[in-house]
Amino acid sequence: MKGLISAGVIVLSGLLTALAQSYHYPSYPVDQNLLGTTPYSSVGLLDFQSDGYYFRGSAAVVEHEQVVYTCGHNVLSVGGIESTELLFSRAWSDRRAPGWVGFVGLRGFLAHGSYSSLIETAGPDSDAAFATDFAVAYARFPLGEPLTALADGVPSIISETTEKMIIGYPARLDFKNRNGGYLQHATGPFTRQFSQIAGQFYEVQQATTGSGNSGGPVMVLEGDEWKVAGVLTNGTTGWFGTAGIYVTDSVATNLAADAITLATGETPGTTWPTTTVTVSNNQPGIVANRAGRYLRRTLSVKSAGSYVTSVSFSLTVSTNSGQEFRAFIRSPSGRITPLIEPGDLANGSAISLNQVEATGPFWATKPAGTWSVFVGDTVTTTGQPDSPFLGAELAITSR
Amino acid sequence: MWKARLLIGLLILILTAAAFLLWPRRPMPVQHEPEAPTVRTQPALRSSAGADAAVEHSPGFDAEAGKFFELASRDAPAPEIRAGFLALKKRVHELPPDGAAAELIRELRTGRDTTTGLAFRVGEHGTIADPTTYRVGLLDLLGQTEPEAALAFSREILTTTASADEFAIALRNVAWLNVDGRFNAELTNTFSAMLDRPGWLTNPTAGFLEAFDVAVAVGGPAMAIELASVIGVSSEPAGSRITEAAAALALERLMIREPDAILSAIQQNAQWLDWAPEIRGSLLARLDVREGRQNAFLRDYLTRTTVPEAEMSRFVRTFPDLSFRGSHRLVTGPEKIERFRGIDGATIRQINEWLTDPTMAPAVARLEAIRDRLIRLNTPP
Repeated sequence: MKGLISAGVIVLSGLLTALAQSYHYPSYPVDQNLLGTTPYSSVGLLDFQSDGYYFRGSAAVVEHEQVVYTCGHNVLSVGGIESTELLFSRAWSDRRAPGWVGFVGLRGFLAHGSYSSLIETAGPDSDAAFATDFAVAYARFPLGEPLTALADGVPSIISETTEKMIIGYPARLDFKNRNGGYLQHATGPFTRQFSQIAGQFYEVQQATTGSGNSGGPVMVLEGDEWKVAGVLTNGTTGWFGTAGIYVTDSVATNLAADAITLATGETPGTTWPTTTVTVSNNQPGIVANRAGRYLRRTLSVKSAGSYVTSVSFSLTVSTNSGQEFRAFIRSPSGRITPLIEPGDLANGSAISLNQVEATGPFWATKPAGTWSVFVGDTVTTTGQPDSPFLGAELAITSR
Repeated sequence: MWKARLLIGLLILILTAAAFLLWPRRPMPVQHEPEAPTVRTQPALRSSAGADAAVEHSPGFDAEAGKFFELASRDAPAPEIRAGFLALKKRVHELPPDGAAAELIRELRTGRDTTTGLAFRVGEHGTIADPTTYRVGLLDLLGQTEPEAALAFSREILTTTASADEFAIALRNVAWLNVDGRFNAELTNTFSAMLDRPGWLTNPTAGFLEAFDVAVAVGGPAMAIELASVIGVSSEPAGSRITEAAAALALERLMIREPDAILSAIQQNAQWLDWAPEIRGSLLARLDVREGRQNAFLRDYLTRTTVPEAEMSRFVRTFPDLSFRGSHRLVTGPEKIERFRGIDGATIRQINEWLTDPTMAPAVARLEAIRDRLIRLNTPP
């Protein structure tokens, strides 16, 4: 029986040891020798004023030497009022705060924020709010070597094999009676996968972060490079710590691109290369002389830049009854944009739209996908012939 | 025997500890103290008893709509409900637009409905990623079909629905078809009526708040005045803050797109928005010294001694404000921010010029504070 008890004790201690090793990812100060190396050298302390008080958070230089990724509640206070005096201190690591000379000022920010972000609570602490808790701040001068961000961080975050690590400046690490001071911390690399809570808001269990770590980069190891897959939005310390993150997506990419535009905005002549993709569909067809029946032609955009800067549309139909025609386009997501409304055109001449500007809501969205054009006669007129469709063309400029 | 019991007890302890340690938990928030949750009112649902059996659907539509409804009504996991909605959307996009509109309207007229358990979420191009109810999903898809039918039925919904989320999507459907501003007057009146609906303002749904984007799309001083009118009116602090935040964001976007609309609202009534000095200061901090009318306003504004301290303090700390918020919206696209490039240099030059002007003497401290901040932020350490 003694043997059984001993075995039980061994099982218990073994299990607890295994749990400690496998399922808890504490945060430790980053070795001073590593602070000058990637990715730690790109992570910094963020200081900001909100509602009259100073707060601290974390941020990292990402995508461009003048741009940092952080979380939305570091730059927006309750009620959506902007934080002011955003200050950044890259690779700082000390028990003491940097002091004014250790910080540089950030010029502004672009935050993910919708009209209903605050719907679940009046403050930012809700699943819906965390699902948009992301911001990009920028400076007018270089801040450091930028890390690379994943355009879509979800596959790496939910992977059971990808190594992950959270870096930042947790103020308190109570479970070990340690005070975080202003030391840069990082969790040990771990492979446990994150789970989706709402939209871009994901969580992982038993990872220690804590107050002040908000906005710190969530790194994933791709090949031999640590890349940014998100930013920390909420978390707790200790064995039962839970880390919540905003995972990078197209909104993050668009905000970053706009931040780069503003960051370098005082530099004359700086322009960004754009590419224009033109797709056409000249498959012959007939627009029937029958009210409500539409001819559909699809235009498939397969390769283009990251996001749209302009959309224009051309359409040719041979008809004598243009006054009765309606034409509209539908984006890959389903957005309808009218091109011709009944009465817009006069009868007696063919429909010939040439590069009609249709950018509107598509600006800064992803261009790829299947676009549809619909052309129809809204009045059935006895004796009137059907109208031959001659062609449609979509030109998308993106960068 | 006692040893065996001890061993069993030990094993139970081990298993309990393991279950406790491995059980998923939700986080406590950090950085901000939790606040009292806002009570969110679900839109009133229609009776599911109805004339559904009498309605004929095309097989494809009927199958996908039925599946989406079934998933939502049995509280299936969110990914399954989303997949059901996307399958229905795919089917609707495959159908001819007039046929799809007819099917959707027929289904909507049955009154059949159920909640989905999803939080209202706007997706790309203003489409709905997560509909809160079956009918909200159908109305979203209706707006992606034949414009004339979508317009007529959406107008009907705007006069009959008790659901703020349905109202929001119907309003969006009309706004999508607002070519050359032909429905501006109708949209302004309907938006104003939405703000007056009992209960919607004090217990706003996400759809109700997202509909504020219609005001941005229509624009003009009238919409600016409508938006400002909801700031500070709620008796419930939490609800007030949510609605205020949405209205302030809409005003901010309106200011970036159409600064003349805000200036006109102020010039028509100097007290406009003076009950929310921080929001007013934030809006005015987005003016551009390079634009004639805005420059003239700024010159006068900076010398005023009657501006509340909270407003001027916010203005001086952020002007010219180059911070923005982006998200998917029901109607509008992102603001074109490239026009703000070069504004810091232009502002510094204008301030230096004003500082030599004796008539700007009352503004010297403010001008110097703004200029010094801009120089600091534009100078490498």
